[in-house]
Amino acid sequence: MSRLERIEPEISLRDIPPVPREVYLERQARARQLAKHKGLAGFFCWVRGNGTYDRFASLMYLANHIPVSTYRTPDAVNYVGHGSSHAALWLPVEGDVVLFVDKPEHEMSNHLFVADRVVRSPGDLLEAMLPALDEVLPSKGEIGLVGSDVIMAPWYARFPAELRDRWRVTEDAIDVLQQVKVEDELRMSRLAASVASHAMRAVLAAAVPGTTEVSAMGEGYERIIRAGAQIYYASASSGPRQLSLRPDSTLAGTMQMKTGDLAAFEFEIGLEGYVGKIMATTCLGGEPTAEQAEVLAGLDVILQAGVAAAGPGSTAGDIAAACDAASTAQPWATRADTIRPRNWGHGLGMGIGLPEIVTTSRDPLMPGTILFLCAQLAVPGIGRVAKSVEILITETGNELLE
Amino acid sequence: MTTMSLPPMPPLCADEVLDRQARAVSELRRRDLRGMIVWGRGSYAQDRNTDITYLTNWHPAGPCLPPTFGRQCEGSGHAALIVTPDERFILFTDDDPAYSPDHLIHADEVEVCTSQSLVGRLCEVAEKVFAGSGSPIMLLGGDAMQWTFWERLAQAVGQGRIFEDYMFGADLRAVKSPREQMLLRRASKVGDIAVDLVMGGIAPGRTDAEVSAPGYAAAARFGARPYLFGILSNPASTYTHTQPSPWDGRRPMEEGNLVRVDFAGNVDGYMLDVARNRVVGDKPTELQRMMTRAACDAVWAGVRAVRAGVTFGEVARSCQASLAKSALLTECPEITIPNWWGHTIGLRAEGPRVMADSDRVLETGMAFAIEQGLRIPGVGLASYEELVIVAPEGYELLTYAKNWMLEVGG
Repeated sequence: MSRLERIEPEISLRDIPPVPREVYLERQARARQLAKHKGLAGFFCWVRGNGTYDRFASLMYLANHIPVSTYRTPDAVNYVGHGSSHAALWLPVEGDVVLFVDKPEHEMSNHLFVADRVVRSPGDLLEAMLPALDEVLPSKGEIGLVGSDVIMAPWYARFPAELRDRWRVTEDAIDVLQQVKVEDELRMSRLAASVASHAMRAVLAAAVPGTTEVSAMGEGYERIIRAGAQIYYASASSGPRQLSLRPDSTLAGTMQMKTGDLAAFEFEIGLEGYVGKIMATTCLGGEPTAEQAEVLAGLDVILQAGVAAAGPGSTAGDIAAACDAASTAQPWATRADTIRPRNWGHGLGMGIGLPEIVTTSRDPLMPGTILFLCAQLAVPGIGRVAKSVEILITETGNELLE
Repeated sequence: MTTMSLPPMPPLCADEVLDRQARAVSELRRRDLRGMIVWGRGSYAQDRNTDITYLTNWHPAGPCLPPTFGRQCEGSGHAALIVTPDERFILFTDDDPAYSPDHLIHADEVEVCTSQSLVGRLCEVAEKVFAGSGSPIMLLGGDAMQWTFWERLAQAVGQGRIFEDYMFGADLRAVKSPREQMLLRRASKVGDIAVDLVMGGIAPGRTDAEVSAPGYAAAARFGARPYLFGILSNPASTYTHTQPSPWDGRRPMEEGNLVRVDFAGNVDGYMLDVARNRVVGDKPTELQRMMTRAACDAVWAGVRAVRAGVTFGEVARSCQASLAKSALLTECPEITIPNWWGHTIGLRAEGPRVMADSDRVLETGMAFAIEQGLRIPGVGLASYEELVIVAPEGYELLTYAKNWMLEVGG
């Protein structure tokens, strides 16, 4: 047992009740109202599952389903886009909610879908879906399309033109519904944040000179998976040579970390669909140099400014403006060669989503909203540095999740 | 913590990528095509970057951001490649390769775009490069291209000119170079270590997630990127994965549960893929024993049939014949004998596939998985999988993970 395990209790899903069916039904009711409000006949949600940056949120949110089967590459004989690892939902203003899944009944027997009807495909998702859609869709009215960016060209081509003509892309509709979490959802989000924090502490403890980046990350992976969570995205970067905010996660990470370098780590995890996300930076094997310390302290100042601006009624734009102002005061901010991200973070729920923390975000934040606030940059001579916090907007202000 | 290390790999040399490019161009010419467009999506599992990676050694690593973040993110996590009529390879990426100093890209031109400009630049260059002729343009990776991009591209080069050949890239990659074979051996070694760790940790009272964690983490410490870590111990489910996570974090394993692990991922881009079974408590029922034995024997019948000159169909039919005469089929004649028995491995799982009706001939240097899963509702899923490389005389086995059913309780 490692020193960390003796200090920290195990985090597990075992004693945490899942989100109850009633919550899904309430979400469906709100989605129906939203569709009606927008003058739509309903929402058609298309999702892709089984991987990082999955786009499953709308179906998981509305019907408790993530397609997790393996994506089959399109080189089989007579391939026409069979849709493995994809799924869809028809949620009308009135009538049955219909879920379309990519597996036959006997392969889905352990899972509780929240839908009035489930259409199962033994091989080709669209082959089973298209006749059923023909049966359930109303004859007229626009249909709100969610997940248009994960409808790939071969599948799009198979939808009848008369149906495609009725689609109105409504990407943010379900995302907006998800922003304010109820207590059952907050319980899962809090646990997801705890798992991510727990994993990060393990990584930082293991990040010592002479070990590899992936070796340190392995400590985090082990804790994330043991808790029942899934890794959506992970990155590690150390040393001044790393000058991208997007480390090449295919090949990087196996080099040894060096004394005196800064090492930045990032996890995005999913716990039964709920996302926890964290970034942290440490100095390897000792105290940071004055220049490194200045940059790291600057990140803290930015985050503190952002947290101070976060509360009910304020906007993500207010938070971004506060971060911008704090950033401008940092010495490195004037360096033209510093690489900065395009935002200071985003909303969290079942994926990364609204509101984006940029100065143009204008919608007031509501209690129950969770934000991922991050300060990251890449500075020549230092490398990539990153820190973050998860903020829950409360009735009276905010609460940091970990 | 696992401290074992893998032997270092020599870096990919330019000649190997140039050879791939030359073979791609040669094949285009043979088909009387003047060029092609390659599209790729990166950023972890379900990646579809293989065609671009194979031809340029570039992997788009950034996240594919959702459209709620606005059009400025629309191309994020993607890359594109144009192969011109005069054999220029033009790579489009939304991430600056200069920031990945260890990453050697092989392309005549690299256009570093923003996420927003990626698709637009691809369309502009494609329009220019393929102007003046109505000849068809081959697209690789169309299944990873969202339909709005497709429409813009089709408009740029002319409606009706784009066509797809889903086997073009797979055929190009089917025979592995000696270096690729080394990479597959390394990756399989990691898979064996991970699966042995997982299977060794199976015990009553532990969840699938708790059992999976050490193996997943051990693989990751070797630099592996797991794609699929399918563990299943719940006899009530015959689905190959649990929901909503690949591993159940709630249900404790019980004595007598049949556990199946199927681990797929990559190390340095090259695939590992291995499946094994174990019964919790190592006291399998007769039916569990028959299931696992039938799956293992059928896979091994296929393995033993592997040699250059036979067809994938012959390998698959060897598997089928073994399953047909198994004790399991006598006991459960309702079980359908599958047509599909595996897939090619390399930068991803792909074709040619091990199908009973395939007449594709095995060539020395091909590498593939032979696998099968047998499901009985209420009992569970028995899966078995081995990886082989076609050798001049027979086959080379890549997978050496322990067969718990035979060695411990089978």
